[in-house]
Amino acid sequence: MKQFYPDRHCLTTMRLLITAAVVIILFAIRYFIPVDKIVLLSIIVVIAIACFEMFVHLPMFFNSISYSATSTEVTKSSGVFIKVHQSVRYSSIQYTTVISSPFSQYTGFNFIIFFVYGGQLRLLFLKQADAQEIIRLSGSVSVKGDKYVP
Amino acid sequence: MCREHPLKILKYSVKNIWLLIFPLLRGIYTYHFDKNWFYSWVQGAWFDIAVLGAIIIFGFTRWAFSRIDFTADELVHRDGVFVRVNTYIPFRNISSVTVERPIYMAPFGAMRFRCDTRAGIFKTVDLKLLVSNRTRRKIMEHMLDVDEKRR
Repeated sequence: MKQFYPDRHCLTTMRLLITAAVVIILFAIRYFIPVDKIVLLSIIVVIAIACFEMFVHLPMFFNSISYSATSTEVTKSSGVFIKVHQSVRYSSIQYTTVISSPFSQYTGFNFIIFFVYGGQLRLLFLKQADAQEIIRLSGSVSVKGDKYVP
Repeated sequence: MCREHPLKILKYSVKNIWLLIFPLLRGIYTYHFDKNWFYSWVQGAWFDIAVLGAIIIFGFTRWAFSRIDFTADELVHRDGVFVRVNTYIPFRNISSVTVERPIYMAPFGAMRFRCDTRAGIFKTVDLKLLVSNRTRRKIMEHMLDVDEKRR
């Protein structure tokens, strides 16, 4: 059995994205809301939510995710407040979607979605090498040397 | 490798229709109850045309990056400009194929192609494409018929 964990680069990327989103929201608040007290309150609330997300929830979420793959099935364990374990047999996979961002080896934005009878299994924030390994183990994609299969 | 039908550019463009809010805001901003309003609106019309152009360029770019590939075993649909979404559907897992030819698409030779497997949620389609007859024929050539599956 092989154990996989999310790419830690992804945490940094997510933090950068959240920071960018917060900056845009703060500018919009400053521009559109004329009342200073509401602006100040909104800024405090937005920054507090962003800090909680970046430094509390996201690290806990990333720590909670793990994937284990055997020769017959893959299992995902995740959840901060509610733990979820989901297993899928390779034999029940009907088709596969692979999502990757540019420079996914640095951002960790590699996702695999296995569509199976009656549902799907989403494997999020994988390292490129791990994603390749999981796809190889699952045997669900037969394209060889495809540059879009991470 | 095939592409979707160029009519799909319109569909991709429609997704960015919200950008028209900017010309609309400009129209509201320049609106005054006088006879010169129309002239002042026309003077800034380049902005509206630029937004429309941007919507169509976005649609075209999405279309240009959307590709249909085949291997011996799989139908591969590649989509997305920055974030690439690649869907690999093995031909042997395809349980139904629907080809729809709406009358208004007939002059353009376009048709809707839907492909379903046993996976997924009821009433949702696994792969939905807008293709030309040539592309449809190419895809169908790769589909195994029932007898071949049994062998």
